[in-house]
Amino acid sequence: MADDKFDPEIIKIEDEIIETLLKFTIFSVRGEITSKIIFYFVTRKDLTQSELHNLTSVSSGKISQELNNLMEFNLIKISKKSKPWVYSMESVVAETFSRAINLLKSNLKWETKFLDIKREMEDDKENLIKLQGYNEVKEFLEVNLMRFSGFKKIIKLWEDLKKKYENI
Amino acid sequence: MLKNQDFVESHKFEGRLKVFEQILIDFIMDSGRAKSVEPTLQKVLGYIAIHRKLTQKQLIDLTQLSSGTISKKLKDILKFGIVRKERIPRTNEYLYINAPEAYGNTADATFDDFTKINEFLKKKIVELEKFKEKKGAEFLSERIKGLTKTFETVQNIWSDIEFIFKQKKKES
Repeated sequence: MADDKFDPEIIKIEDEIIETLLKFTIFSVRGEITSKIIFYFVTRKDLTQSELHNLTSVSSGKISQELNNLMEFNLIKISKKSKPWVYSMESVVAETFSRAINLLKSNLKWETKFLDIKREMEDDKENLIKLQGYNEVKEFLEVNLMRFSGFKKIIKLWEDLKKKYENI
Repeated sequence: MLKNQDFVESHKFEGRLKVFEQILIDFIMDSGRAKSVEPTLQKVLGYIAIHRKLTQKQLIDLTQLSSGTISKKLKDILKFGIVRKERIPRTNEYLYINAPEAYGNTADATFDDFTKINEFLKKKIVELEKFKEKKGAEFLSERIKGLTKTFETVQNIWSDIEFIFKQKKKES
């Protein structure tokens, strides 16, 4: 395949890197398509939808959906200066951490809902406790509300630690 | 050791709790989407996390996924180590049990993976050095260095956070 960014020898190395990374369990939970797209952003930095389609053979519709998801969580950014639009992952380190913190923040948006359910379960305990699932829901809420308070601490700690890591 | 009551209990939540279960599943799916976890895998993991233990048949009933899909997803999930499998005595059925105690091991395994990945990537950086005249070699090498730095930074930050948490625990 013609490629104006990499020599064929370099493409071979890039392919080996991506194929090897895909085999690790930590990436396999994501699903191959998402991981592949992220890895191409790691290796290539800037990509258009059609370049991604050529590299991955994934349909344009699916690529568009994946790109929107990655943008929502700040892993990549879009430049609409001229067509075709270019999607970029500027700094591998910065973008990865910004995404991780956004993931924690996106979990936290459920906290109010969880507290509402917990309150309702406490207020109507007499009736709800007789129903199948009471203990399971209660335990799930407690564990996750505890995780949320851990997430808040991590986000706060990250704000303090950011200076130490911002130049890498 | 499993007791009869462990698996004769109904897996279907009732009344208002059915509504709460759906909200918890929505949360799990939303969280999985944000992490780009494959949706059917996340759904199966989610039901096991809420119910703590389920058979394959119960999972099919709850998730409305086909038996082939459930079977494949369970195989993947067992590999991650966060769910374990126990045979129901005197039957050919298995319970898939949420194993939160395994999360520590999973974190260790993740860091193990980071170390292996970094060793592999560092070899590739050396290999790219041999092709430095070729188009894109230097660029790819810099990007891969960025990736290795990310894994090292994650490990360092995690140690920092663990240290700070331990300090705070001591202080309180």
